[in-house]
Amino acid sequence: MMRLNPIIKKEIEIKSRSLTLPVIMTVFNAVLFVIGLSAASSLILLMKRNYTADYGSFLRAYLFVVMLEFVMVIFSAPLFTAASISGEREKGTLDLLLTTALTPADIVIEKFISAYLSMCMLIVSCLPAMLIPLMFGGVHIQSTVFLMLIMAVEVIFVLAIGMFSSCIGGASVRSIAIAYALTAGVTAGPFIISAVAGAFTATGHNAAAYIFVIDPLLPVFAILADQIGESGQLASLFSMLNAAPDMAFLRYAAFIGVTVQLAAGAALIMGAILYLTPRRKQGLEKEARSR
Amino acid sequence: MSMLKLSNITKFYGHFCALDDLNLKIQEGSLYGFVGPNGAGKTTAIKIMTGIIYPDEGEVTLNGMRLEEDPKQYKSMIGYVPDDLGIYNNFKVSEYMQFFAACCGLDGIESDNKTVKLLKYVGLEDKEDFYVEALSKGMKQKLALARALINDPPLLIMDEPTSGLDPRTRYEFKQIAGELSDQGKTIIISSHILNDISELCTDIGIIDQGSIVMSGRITEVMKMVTAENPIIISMAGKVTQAIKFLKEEKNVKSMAIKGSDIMINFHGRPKEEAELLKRMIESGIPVRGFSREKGSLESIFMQLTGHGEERIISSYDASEPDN
Repeated sequence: MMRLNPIIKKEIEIKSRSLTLPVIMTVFNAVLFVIGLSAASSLILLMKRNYTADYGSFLRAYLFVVMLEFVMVIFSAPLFTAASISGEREKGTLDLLLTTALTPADIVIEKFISAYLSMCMLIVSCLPAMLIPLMFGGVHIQSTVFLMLIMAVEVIFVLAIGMFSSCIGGASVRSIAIAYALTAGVTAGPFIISAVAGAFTATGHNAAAYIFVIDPLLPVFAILADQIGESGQLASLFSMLNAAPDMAFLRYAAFIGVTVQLAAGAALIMGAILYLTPRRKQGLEKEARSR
Repeated sequence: MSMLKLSNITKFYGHFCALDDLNLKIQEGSLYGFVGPNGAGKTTAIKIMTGIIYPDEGEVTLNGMRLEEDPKQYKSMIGYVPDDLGIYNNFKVSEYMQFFAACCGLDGIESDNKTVKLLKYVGLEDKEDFYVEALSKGMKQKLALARALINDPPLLIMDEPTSGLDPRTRYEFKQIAGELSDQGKTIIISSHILNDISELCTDIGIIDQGSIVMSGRITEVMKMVTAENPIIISMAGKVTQAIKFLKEEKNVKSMAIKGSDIMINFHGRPKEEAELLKRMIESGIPVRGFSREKGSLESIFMQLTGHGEERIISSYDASEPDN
């Protein structure tokens, strides 16, 4: 029989007794179903009235529902990791874990995996709601599943932000606040920075727009736009920001974004492990002593 | 043979020096009381002993093994009961034990057997299926102790284990600690309850401002400090005359009065004490009693942590009586 790692097992046991995940799933699905069904029914009513079927509207509704789901996923992800280490610290159990055979790397990685499994469950649970606007076709279910996989990869970065915040934040409230500030920073920050930089640069020369590769929304938006046959939307976005990236960048923007964000996620996890690893501090103390 | 050795340990938090060149040796099989005022550096020292944090300078060795040499092996020799217990309230008692058993590398039947045995040992065998949050403070303390013993460590470190417990649970806890010590385990107890330390421990270390100010066998420490305690002179009258007489004595460094008792800080050898008493009697001062105050752990603690004078002043009136 496969032996589960103690922390993953513990987290699963605790989560199975808690209502947090089922409540989040219910809220997510309720919101997506209401929006998806409303969009679909209003489009059907429009079809009945005009005797014409506007499939583009269905696809735009799909884009909206999926992007909404992803935004909700991104902004709920910090909840899953931001209190994971700080919560142990508050309960006084972190010190105990550090006196066992577990290393700081074991603790951080196992907590991360446990949170990641919960996020994956959340993403998968939204599949039916994502498909509502596709009742009349337009996108293959394989494309939707692929999009879900991208979301599952993208969420690693946001969970890593939460994990890092949890280590450096001390108390849970502070960790959660830091995690949300950083998440908001990486999602809205690139747009704001690019827009500001774009206002001061010559047409098509806004290099700051490339900062979008750190934005978790970019890969999902790029793939989604491509799936609904509106890949030009990405170029329009960059053009709006006074940037003119070459075709290769636009074609591989999703791949570049995912790669950069996975690397950033790995760096954050490493940072979290290093933060928890006991070490000798030198320099500052000697300076203090010499005073 | 010293089991745990902290040599020249220094630890800074920013510019604050929490431990300053701390040296400590804990003998194998001893029951070591680790005391000190709030902010003295006890918790930092304990965290360094357990390997939770590293010192900035100095060496920590356990059975000759350096902490940084093999942290995993080092930690496997320590059981730790923190002052906040480290309890997961939403676990059942047996799950809590099994979780920590798994964290220490034990699994399956070995983990189950250890859980049953240890819960029985601390008297929680009938609470196996209870949620931890349903346990009383005393039961949680016992559970924390059982958890600390899950990997059968030779060294057990307990931070404030009896604080907040009712007298019965405190007694039971001390019994268990005594039994574990008899089984050959080395135990370090940090506590503010000095009575518990003096009743239970064989050795003591007093820490103040990040350094050990006294360490050794508790009986020897008591003897040593008794010799430095104030002398209480009980008078059968003529208190004012006695005060005038004592003020002229060069070995009397300070004095306080309470009713017909005079308490003096006398810096001198036992022979000089005897001569002082002789001269008082020869001067016609009616001395009813003349003895060194008995050393208690509290008095040692207060003297060594710089509160000795406060204690004298609080229990004795420093002003002279009218007659």
